[in-house]
Amino acid sequence: MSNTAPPAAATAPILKEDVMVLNMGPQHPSTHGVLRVILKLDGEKIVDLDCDIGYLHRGIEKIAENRSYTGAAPYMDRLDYIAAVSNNLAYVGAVEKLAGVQVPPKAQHVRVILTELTRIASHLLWLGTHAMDIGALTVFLYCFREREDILNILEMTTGARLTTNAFRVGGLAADIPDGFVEKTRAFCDLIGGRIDEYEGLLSANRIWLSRTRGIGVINAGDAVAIGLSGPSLRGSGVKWDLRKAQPYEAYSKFEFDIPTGANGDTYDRYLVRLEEMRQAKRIILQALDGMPEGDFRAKVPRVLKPPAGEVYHSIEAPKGELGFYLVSDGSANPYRVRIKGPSFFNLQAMRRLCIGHFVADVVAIIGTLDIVLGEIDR
Amino acid sequence: MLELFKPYTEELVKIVILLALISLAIAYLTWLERKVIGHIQSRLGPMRVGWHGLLQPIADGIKFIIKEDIIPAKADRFGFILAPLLAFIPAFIVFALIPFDGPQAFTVGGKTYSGYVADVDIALLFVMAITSICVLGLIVGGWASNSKYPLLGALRSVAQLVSYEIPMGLSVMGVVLMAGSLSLVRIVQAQERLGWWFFLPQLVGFVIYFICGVAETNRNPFDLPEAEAELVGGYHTEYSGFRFALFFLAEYANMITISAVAATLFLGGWLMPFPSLLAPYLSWVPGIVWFSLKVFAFLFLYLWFRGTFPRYRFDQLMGIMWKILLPVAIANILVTAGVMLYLNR
Amino acid sequence: MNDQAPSTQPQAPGGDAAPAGPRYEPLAQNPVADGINQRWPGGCTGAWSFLDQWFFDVAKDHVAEIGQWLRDEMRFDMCADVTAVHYPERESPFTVIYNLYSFADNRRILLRAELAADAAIPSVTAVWPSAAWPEREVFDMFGIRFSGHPDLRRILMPEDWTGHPLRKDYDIRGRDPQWIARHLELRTPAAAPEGEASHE
Repeated sequence: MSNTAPPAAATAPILKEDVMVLNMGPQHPSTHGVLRVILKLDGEKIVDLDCDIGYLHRGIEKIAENRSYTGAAPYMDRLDYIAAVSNNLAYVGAVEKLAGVQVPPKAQHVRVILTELTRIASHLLWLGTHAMDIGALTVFLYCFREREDILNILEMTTGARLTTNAFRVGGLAADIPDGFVEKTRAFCDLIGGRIDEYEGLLSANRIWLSRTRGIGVINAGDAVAIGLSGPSLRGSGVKWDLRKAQPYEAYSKFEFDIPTGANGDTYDRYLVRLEEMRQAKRIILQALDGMPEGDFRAKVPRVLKPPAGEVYHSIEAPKGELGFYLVSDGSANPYRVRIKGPSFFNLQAMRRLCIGHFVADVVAIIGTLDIVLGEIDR
Repeated sequence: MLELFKPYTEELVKIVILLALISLAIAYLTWLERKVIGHIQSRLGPMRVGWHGLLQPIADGIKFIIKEDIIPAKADRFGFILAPLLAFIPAFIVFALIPFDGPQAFTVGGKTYSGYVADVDIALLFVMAITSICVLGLIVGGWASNSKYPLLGALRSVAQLVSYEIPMGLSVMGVVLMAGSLSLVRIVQAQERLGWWFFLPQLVGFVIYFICGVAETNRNPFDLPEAEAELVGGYHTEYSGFRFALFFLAEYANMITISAVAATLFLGGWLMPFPSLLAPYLSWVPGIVWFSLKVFAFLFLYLWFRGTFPRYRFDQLMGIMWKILLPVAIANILVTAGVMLYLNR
Repeated sequence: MNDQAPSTQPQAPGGDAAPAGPRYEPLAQNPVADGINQRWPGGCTGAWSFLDQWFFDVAKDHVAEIGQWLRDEMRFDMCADVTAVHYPERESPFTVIYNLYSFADNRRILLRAELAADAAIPSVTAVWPSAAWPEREVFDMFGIRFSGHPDLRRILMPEDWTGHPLRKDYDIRGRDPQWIARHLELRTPAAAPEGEASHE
């Protein structure tokens, strides 16, 4: 079948003398964390590879079974720590769905603003590191400059910059601080031009094009089969975004486009993410304009005991579909928490995308899949 | 014993001065690089050690010297120790042939001295030969480390070497044809006679030479043998302390060499720009200043590249060199030769 | 640890313990359930709607074939996740959950397949390649074997680890002392002796 790459074990006999095994990671500048890729090389051409994951496995799913529903929430920030707010939203959303909590409109708007800011921050970090892997150092520092503004907004809103634990079951931890709206608006005014700046450095650069076009190509059918989601899937032309397909929070109120690619290569995924940043800015501005008055948190009992049952709730995280599958037995602790992280599934496509390419392309492909090991290993 | 060296006093003094100057230039090239790239990337670069980080290179030098020197247990010791020297020494030898100033550069005690250590008839050939040896250092270092990433770096070095050497050698042939000499001094003098610097009639050769020069020095966008993102540090992954510093210094010395040769061949070396316009006012400026300015312009270009470009893949580099630059360089020689034949009929 | 028995699975419609809150309502005339039962009699033992989500209890032996049919005929193109839950008190202590999504209908369904402690379940990797890693993870975390999986190895835990961390009888501080003695050169005496309690 076209979309099943042969398993590593089945291709073991290829180990001839002219095949070199190269360990890339778990300590390597471009594996974005503690990913270990075992490459089998013929010269610099990749014959086969196997991803070895689990170096960052902390057992968050197990920990969550031993915490209360609210007590488990901060752990979820440690999944995709680049986009902690999104993790928090997905988890809190799953608990709310199970417990039947209605979130007040104001909290929904703030949630949308913060998650979209996080999406921009996550994409900025992705762009910076992706460009750096391909050798463009400057973009990295530009991206971090803008990401700093987002972290400042998160800090003034939640008190933390990275692992923010931004939301509570039922709404927000606190009302938005003074100056939040102005600062967010100022950032939105800034970011559009800055994205153009990055594009000016990369989009038409011949070297960038030759390093990203036709690299890591996957067609729509294979992308779905291998479980890609998020920008990696949309780069292959599948117009699927959970914010539109199954709207959560207040997303159905806002207008935005879903950018898609045509060729499913690294360059298309790059363009998709850049456009997503612009769309995120659009959503933030709409959410700011229509910010309702009222409560920032619904009344939720201090000890939350959702009814027995199962729930799957997923959101469109910056990296793809982030879902939480909760099983409740009616007690104060979840019976089972399953985290469906997009990076785990996106990384699965790595082997397919890399075979036949060069070592230099491996780092481009790791970059384009936009993985975070905290979410893969959980 | 001293009698033996007496006839070479002039050369020896020049060599000592040159070594000091070049070392200082390399040290401050690293400072300049960090500053220029820092400002390109909207940050300040070194600021702590000395005024605007001016003492940073010295601090770095001390750090390199006092660091532990590690030779991996399974490395080939001889090659491992030899490699940095192979890269470092040739990089400095070349400067003996670079004309920093003309034959009558300065007068001390009634005697005129030239602005170079030696003027050799085959200087250009010698320079190109010696700079190629530097790459041998990378290859030996990558091989002797007995580690996979350096090995891949060394492999890339070889691929790169065979690719850029040929178009590079051919690109300067146009200049040689026009000047009628391989001596760097006479090439500059030929530009003086012509009244045109060779970069105009030899624009094609100039561009090819500089692209190949960037490849030779392993700088962005051709820094494949050491590509940090892919090969960790490439050929110097296993090197530390002073041995690493030698590779590092060799790279910067090579940058200066390539820039100096480019300035000599294509930008008129020590000559003043627009002599008819500027000579009345600026004739007091020594030629070495013009030369340094030209070298600096090239070096800035290097740094600018690094701040702007992503990195090519090594097969793409080979494609560019073999499929584009080589045919163009050959065409350039043929056209130049044809024109020279026609003019000297 | 949870000391009370999980009451997740609906005992019988209407017989739920919790008086208030959402209930599992049986789905009548559902194309998925009916289709499965038509092709594999008794293949779908229950079809439920809970909080607007569709759950189907399927027979574990037919999972791969049902998956094939769901993908080809019902256009559930994406297997978003495969996971499991451990109910030690039940007769069939493991439930494997398949999370399927159909782009055409914008519909997500959850298939549940129960299996006994030492049973194996057919792998759906041939139907959805995306199931390869999550199945490995379920194998790693619960020790459930997937027959026909092309590469069933541990994925997160070390290859030679003993025990399956997400089983309910695995303590949260559980570790494998032999593995630690084998691989980590800890100088503290606590790490060395075998057979000692695996608690801190």
